[in-house]
Amino acid sequence: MSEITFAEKTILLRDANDRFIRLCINETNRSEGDDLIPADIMGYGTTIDELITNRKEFIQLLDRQAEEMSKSIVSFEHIPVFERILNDGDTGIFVREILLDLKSDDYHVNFGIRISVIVSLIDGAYKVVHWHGSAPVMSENDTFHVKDIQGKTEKLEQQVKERTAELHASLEKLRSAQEQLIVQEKLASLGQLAAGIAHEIKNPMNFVNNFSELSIEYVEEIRIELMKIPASDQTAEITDLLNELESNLKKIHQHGTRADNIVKSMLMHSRGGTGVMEPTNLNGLMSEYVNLAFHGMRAGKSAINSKITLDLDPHLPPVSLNTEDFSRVVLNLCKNAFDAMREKTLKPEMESYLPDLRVSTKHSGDKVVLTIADNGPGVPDSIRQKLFEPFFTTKKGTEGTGLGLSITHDIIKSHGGTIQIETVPGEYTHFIITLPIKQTK
Amino acid sequence: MKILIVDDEKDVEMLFRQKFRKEIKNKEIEMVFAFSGDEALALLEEADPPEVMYVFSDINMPGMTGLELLEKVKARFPMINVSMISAYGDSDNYNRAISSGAKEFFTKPIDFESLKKEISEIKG
Repeated sequence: MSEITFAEKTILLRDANDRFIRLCINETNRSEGDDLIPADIMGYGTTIDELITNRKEFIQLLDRQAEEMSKSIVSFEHIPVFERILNDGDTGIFVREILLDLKSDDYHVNFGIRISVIVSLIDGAYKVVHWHGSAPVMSENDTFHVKDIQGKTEKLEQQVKERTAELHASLEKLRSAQEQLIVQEKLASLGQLAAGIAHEIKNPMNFVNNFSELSIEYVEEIRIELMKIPASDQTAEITDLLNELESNLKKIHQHGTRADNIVKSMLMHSRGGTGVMEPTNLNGLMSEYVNLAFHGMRAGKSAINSKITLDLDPHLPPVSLNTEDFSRVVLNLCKNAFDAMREKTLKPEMESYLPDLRVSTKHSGDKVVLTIADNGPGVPDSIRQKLFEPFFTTKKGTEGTGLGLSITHDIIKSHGGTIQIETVPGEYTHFIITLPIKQTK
Repeated sequence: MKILIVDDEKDVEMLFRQKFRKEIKNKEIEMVFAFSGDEALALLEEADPPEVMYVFSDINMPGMTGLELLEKVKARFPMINVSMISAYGDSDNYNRAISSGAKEFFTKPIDFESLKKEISEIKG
């Protein structure tokens, strides 16, 4: 070896360092290290357990690194930092920075390692007697890692806060879902009870109506018979009494008919299961029945002028519907809207008020959102909760059965959908129906 | 013409007798009443051939239902007209009644005008 020059030794030292680095990052075959690694190699890796005191441990470390890296795509960049050749070229100290880039499906890490290596000529070959690897912490002016730990703690605290907020949000969601479930259960059992009662009441109600109707006919026949008797104070008195009797009978018949209408609605309500769910052009159904509701209202006793705006999503796919039932939902909600807006027109300060009914459909993922919005008087908070309960009505006297919204609610529920109300008293009421496009049964 | 009304509600008799007061008084029609399916069959079998020309029956009755009665009457006395009168005007009941040979299907509350029209057509 004595004839080798200093320059040549330097090249051999650099080459040994080079081979060692490539070995460490698994760029070369393990056998390359055979004459490079002495039996008593000593070194530090970047983690606390990486204290190496012999060749066997070093090989184990390389194996473990190879295992870790096998899951990722790895790329390197070598940056020489320091080099010192000592002992006439028999020993070299090399310092390098290696920038690693590890990529896998789960992570992407950029990583810097500082490696110092001492290569020395032992028994006629250049070997690595010692190396030290370290990884810098990712904060500046932090010799003793205090900032790093603080940063990590802060990050953890932040994560805990975020998770806690998420948990709060889902707890709230759960609570409101539970409340909704309780309300729905209450409504469902009331509905069943009501339907049972309706069946029992229908027959006696028919008798009340039939017999009162019959008696009205008899009063008329008595009048005809009475005309055949010469008029007197007695016949005048009888005629008076007959008139009273007839008006009473008419009252019985009128209220009996009213009760019969309630019972009929309840029966229709519970009829359930006879209609068929089939893919339906919801936009077509909407425009048909909104139109029908409008003309029904115009033809009725207390018509109002109302603007009708249809905003139907042209990209709506067919929606699974029981059209017979669902058209009642549309009619009910439109009728309610017209009734509500009429109330508002009757207020003396509302001279310039223009009723406006807006109906829209919107495709949203696997659902369709349907909105029936009026600019009527809105619903006060005090009665919002009761709105969908059977027999709850704000309409005076004989105008409403109190079943419209309860039936609406049940029909939507049987379609696997939901109905929500958004309202500002004095401003508007929006009924928002969400339906699944396909029924899952 | 003799008509049989079948209904488990006894007040039906009073109602029909009053509603058809004139027709009964003028002897245009005669009305008999049965309050169950069995009673109706027994009444029909009293005379051979039966005097009853038309049966109007309720559907929902304890024991034999109106639809069962309809099938039995149609099997034994095919010449007798049978129509159903029911509070349950749903398509299931309607289809079953018509396919079993019911002439008409009336819903409660009974529209007596259409019932009178039906009877006068048969009489005619």
